[in-house]
Amino acid sequence: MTTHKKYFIIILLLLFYSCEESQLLNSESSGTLTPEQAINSSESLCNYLGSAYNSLRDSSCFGGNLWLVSDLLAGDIKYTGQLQSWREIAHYSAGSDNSISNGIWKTMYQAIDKSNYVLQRLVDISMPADSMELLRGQALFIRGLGHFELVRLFSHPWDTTLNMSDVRGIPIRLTSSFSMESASKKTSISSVQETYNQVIKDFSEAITLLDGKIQGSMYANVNAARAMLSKVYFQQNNYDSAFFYADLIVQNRKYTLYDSVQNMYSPNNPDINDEFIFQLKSTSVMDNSSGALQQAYSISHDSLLPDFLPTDQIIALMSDSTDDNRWKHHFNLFINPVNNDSIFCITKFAYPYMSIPVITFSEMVFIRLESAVMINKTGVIREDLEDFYKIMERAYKHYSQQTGNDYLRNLVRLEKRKEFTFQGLRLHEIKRNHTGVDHYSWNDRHLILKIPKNE
Amino acid sequence: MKINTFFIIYPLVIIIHVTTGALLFSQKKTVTGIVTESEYGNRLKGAVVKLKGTNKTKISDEHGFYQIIIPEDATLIFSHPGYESTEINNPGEEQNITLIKIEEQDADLIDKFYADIYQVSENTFKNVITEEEIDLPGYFDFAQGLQGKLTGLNIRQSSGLAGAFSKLTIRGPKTIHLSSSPLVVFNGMPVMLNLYRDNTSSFDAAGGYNPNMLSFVDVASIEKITLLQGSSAAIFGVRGANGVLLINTMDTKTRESRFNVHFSTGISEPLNSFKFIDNQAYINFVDEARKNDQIFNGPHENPAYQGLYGEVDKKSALNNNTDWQNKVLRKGSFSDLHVSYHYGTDTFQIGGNMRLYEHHGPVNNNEQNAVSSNVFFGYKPIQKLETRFNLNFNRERNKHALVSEAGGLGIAQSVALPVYAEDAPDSYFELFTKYHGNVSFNPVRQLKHHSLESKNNSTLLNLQSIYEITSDLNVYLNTGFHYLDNEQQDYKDSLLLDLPSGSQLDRQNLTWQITLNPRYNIVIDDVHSFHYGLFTEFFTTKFQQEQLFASGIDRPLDADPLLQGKEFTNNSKPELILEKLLHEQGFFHTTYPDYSWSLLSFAGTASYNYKNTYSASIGLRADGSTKFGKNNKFAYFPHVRGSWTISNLKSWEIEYIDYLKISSGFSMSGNSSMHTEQQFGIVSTEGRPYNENNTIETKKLPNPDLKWETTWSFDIGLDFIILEKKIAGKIECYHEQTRDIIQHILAPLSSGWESLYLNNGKMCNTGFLFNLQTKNLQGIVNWITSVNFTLNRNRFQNQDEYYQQQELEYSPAIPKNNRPYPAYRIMDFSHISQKNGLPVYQINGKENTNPENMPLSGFMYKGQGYPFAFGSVHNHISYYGFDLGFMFYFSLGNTIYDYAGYYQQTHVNAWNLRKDIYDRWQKPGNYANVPRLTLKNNPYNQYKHSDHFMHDGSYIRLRNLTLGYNIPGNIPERLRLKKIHLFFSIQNLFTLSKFDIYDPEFYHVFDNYTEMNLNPSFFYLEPPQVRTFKFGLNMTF
Repeated sequence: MTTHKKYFIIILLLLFYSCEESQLLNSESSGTLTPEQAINSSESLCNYLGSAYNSLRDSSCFGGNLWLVSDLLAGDIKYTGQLQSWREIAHYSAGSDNSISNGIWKTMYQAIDKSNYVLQRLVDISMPADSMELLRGQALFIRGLGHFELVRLFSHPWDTTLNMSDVRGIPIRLTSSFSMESASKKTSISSVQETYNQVIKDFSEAITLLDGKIQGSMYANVNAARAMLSKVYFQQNNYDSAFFYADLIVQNRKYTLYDSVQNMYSPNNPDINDEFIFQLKSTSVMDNSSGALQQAYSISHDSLLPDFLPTDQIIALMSDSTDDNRWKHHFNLFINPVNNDSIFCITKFAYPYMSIPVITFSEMVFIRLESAVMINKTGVIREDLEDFYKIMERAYKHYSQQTGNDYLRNLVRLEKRKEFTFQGLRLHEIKRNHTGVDHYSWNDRHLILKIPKNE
Repeated sequence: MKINTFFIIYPLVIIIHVTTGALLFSQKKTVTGIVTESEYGNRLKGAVVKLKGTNKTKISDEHGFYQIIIPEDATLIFSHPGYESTEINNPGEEQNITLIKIEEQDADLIDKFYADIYQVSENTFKNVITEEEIDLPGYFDFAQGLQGKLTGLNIRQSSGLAGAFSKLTIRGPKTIHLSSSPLVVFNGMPVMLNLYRDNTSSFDAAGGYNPNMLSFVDVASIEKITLLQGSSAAIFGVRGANGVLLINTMDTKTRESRFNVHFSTGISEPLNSFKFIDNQAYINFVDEARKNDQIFNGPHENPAYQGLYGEVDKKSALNNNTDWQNKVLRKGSFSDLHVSYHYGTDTFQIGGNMRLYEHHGPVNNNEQNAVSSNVFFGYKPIQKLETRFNLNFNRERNKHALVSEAGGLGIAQSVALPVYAEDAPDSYFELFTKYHGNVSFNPVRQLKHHSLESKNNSTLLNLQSIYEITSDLNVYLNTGFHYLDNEQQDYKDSLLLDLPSGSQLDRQNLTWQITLNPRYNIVIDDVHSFHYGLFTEFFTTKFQQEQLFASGIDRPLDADPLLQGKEFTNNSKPELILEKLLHEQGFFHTTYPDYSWSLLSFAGTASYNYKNTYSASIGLRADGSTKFGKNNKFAYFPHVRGSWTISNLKSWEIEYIDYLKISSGFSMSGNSSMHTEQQFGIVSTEGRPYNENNTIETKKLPNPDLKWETTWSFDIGLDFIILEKKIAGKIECYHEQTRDIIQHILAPLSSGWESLYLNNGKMCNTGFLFNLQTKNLQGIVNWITSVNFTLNRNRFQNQDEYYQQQELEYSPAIPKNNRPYPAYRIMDFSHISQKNGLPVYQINGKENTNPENMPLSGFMYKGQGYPFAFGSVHNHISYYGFDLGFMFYFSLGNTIYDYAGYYQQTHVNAWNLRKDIYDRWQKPGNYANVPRLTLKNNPYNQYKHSDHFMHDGSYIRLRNLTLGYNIPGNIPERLRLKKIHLFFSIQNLFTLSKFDIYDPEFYHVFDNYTEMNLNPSFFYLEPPQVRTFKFGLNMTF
């Protein structure tokens, strides 16, 4: 009988080991792919980077909220809707749990994370050197752009103190968090100085990598990287460097200004593409990059009023000169059917769909001219005025061609403000020029969004 | 593995199973006989026949028959509660025995003996209930019949609808995102409650319905239910943390032909309906609300708010019948016929039963029909081998009443008919339909024109073999197979939709299990006894799901001749033609990915017993599951138990204590009911195109460290039988800590991810269980009382609450550190302002009168979702042929959150308003309980979740009252019957509760574990519970 027992124990032990070694517990997911399976070629890596562009044009980012938040804080627009989180932003009381500001933060970092993943995976996948440089350059551009937009919104402005390495910036994310472990790990918050350094580094590298590659304006390209770098230096009031990169683009003569402000951003206007250095492309109503923007300024069925309206200050400023085409075409008087009040609404983006201009030739013209004025490059100023006057021409019937540095500087700043209304520029100009909004001065903490609490 | 493969493998296994058993043949002595009692010479059921010096036991059947295989020269011990034990040395092959009655039989102690025999738990605890108790009249389904009968098992019925879901919880909640229901083992085969909750479809919550076998199993066929909890459930490893219910159907001991018919029928009536205001009051309130808005907010911009909703004129509004509940609710009825037949000889037993069941619920169109059958076959080809085959087949059809969030009665109370005619072609509901696309909120119409029906087939096949290698080594081999097929039909006709449409959902689940379990006993000098067991199991289950949608059809899809007999599978070729056909007809077809998971387990136990006084056991189980992340493939669960039977000591001299035992256990067990693919990341290759180029998107991170939730439990108990066996009971205290609870953790947003699904949280349950059974009167009148009481204190523990996400947007229920789970995150309501009629909240000791600006710091945490105590008191009195039973059930301490009050009592729109709105603020200076009325559509910014809507959910109710009569003397004999029993019972005769809005027992049904777990006391618009009146007849031939 004892033999029986022995057999049993042996059989059981064999069973145990055979089972443990067998495939019984190996499982594969059904129908879904792991990232390693899905992203295994230069093409799929390219497609993955495509979703980083999608993050940028998400309604939380350039697709809407990034500009809306900036312009609310800058006092150009006001919020009339019911959503608590928007109300908080409009009242300068948004906390670290505000869903709008957290959405900008999260989505921008998603774009950064995707770029990081591309940078990490590039080395594993064999592809021609050109393709690799193209992918690398784009990824670095998106990463730089993300960090730059965030540091401008969530940190104290440049020049708050002499030493910006002491000022709290944002977490610089240079590695992908595509695992539970890395995703739950916090990255320490870098200083503003470090963040700007990283942004400059990324854009500079992107310039090197993208140089000589043919890329449309809907993707990161060498001029976009140059333009962004110029914008970064400009934000730091580093006029020499800002001028240098802006000048490269202006001299290049690759881009031209569109000749009218009417239908400027219309999807049916192919010429505007010549003014865009980098845009987040919309190809159809179904593929609209700027839906949130259109919704914000359009008249909704429920409330019969747009959620966002221009403030009295911006109306006063824009209507100052009645022959300003931008006033004529970007605003519209609306009569409320209930109480017959008349209200000005913003119609600048009122198209069925619209590509988002992230950086344009006209902005480069302004940056180049202002930089030149600031560093007193008289010769250049005269040349550059040509482009500037083109912008003035399309805006006004009549304009003065008076020169003189102070006059020019003020004119350029004023015209830039009018040119880029509701495009998220004003807030950063206030901070750069050390002016203010109402009773908040340029470096007031109310003009800064709060970093989400779980960082 | 494809389902077809299962069909091939399964018969093969059965063949191997039987043949291997037969090969391992060897000789032994079989003793058979009949046990009778001394007083009347009746045959004794449940007598224990034990081979002396071993744990080997057999029990006599209802005819006193027993059979046991023993070595030569062995000694048998015969015992039965209430009778003197008798030892027989070297019994003959046929050994009849008469046990001498020492006093009146103590029926309640039978439990103890069953427990001992099955070695589940060595105590007198109420953890086993037998056939007679389950078969208490007045219940429709399994869970209902169990309520209050097992100590520690909390059962809450979602409603009184036919086929309604019941929530089972043991020792408090232990999880947030996983199933909190116990494992149910049906004839040795684990069957899942909430089968489809992880692969959900919107149908499942509709009608409070839950497709699992237990919702339609034939209650009368169940022979025994055993509840295992804490350390005694630890042997179930990764499936044991929520406790285990072992259910056994028909058994084997019959040695003669027996035929039994059980018939019952009755009616049910809704226990509650809502008290709504009438049309005149509604019209007045609309005017009042508009006036308020003009005073406080200026005129409303939306012209839709100028008259009554839907431009109904007031005159016709006043003429409409607003008592729609009358048209929705009804008296239900049910009937139940159960027929069973048993026959057996020494070498084989057969049995079968069949049940026909029909139930019309308390809401129009709500119906459940079921046919169940059970075939049992026991065969003993040789002395040493015993095989049992059990086939259980159930077929069920359920017509849902659309309730809760899915509509129907819920819809009735949400949109409702304050002033609108329910059937006129140009009524408000028609307009509403046009406004909101293809949605209609008319409850009366919904029930008439929207049908939702599900059909279930369940086939459960079991084969058990016990082979005796030597007298002390036995091997148990068990294989099981369970196939569940669920079809759901949804159809809305042209009165609800412009384009009538329907859908059909088909789901299949197939489970297969094999276990092998050798057990070995050694006894040394009748003093030391050792028991060893090894156990190995392989379990695998697979889900398939597909759905077909169609619009423009004039009847439900299953009734459409075009689609009759068509197979909707992706594999078969004819489907290509069908696909084309479907496309042309405006159909479309979705196949969902198949899911499967497997479990591979090994376990070993060893126990030791010294002179029946001291005993100890240890065990270890290893569970490997395909659900776990690749870094955590195997989970290990140890357990230790020990007991000391003090009354067995030689020195024991206390006369009034007959039995006293202390036992204690410490164990680990687990829960792994996460989604089968939770560990995997998801990458979509079809992201939103950018510049017309394809993109790849990451949707979910992989978690290779994903693992089970672990519960550590410690329990200590005292069993006692005192006062000449008049009182028996058990007290037990336990402490359980669950670790690695899966939670949504907030990631730093700069990772690009918002929340991560990780093993992180902790939860503690500490409790006290008490069970007492007393014989109050004996003699002509017999009166037995049984008391069950369970107390549970629950605390969620997570210091890093920062990382804890608020799980639900709509509900204030939240897991909160050091609070019972779930607690409510709410504002401290102070009063309604006399000045402006808005609510005033207390924030940090100050009154905040501006609800528009409410700081987040104003939230506090209060209340608890689950009751902290519950139990029952059951009395049974018999007098001659009459018997009277009544059971009170109580539940204490849960906090009901009246979401309907929060959501609907604050603003006047097209919804029904409860009469409590009369107590509203009307003008400055008013003291009121309800804020000022408004037409504003969005009161959320003003009216916060607050303790104003919290109610004590405690209640006590007379759950069951039964009067029965056994027809005496020779009447049954003349009718050639053995027994006739008649009974009449009432369920839910009355309820006492402070919650006066509705019935305090409900469970809002959601289609996923997370919401189910978080909202045990979330009150929205629940369908009613019922009071039933039932008459029944039980005959044995």
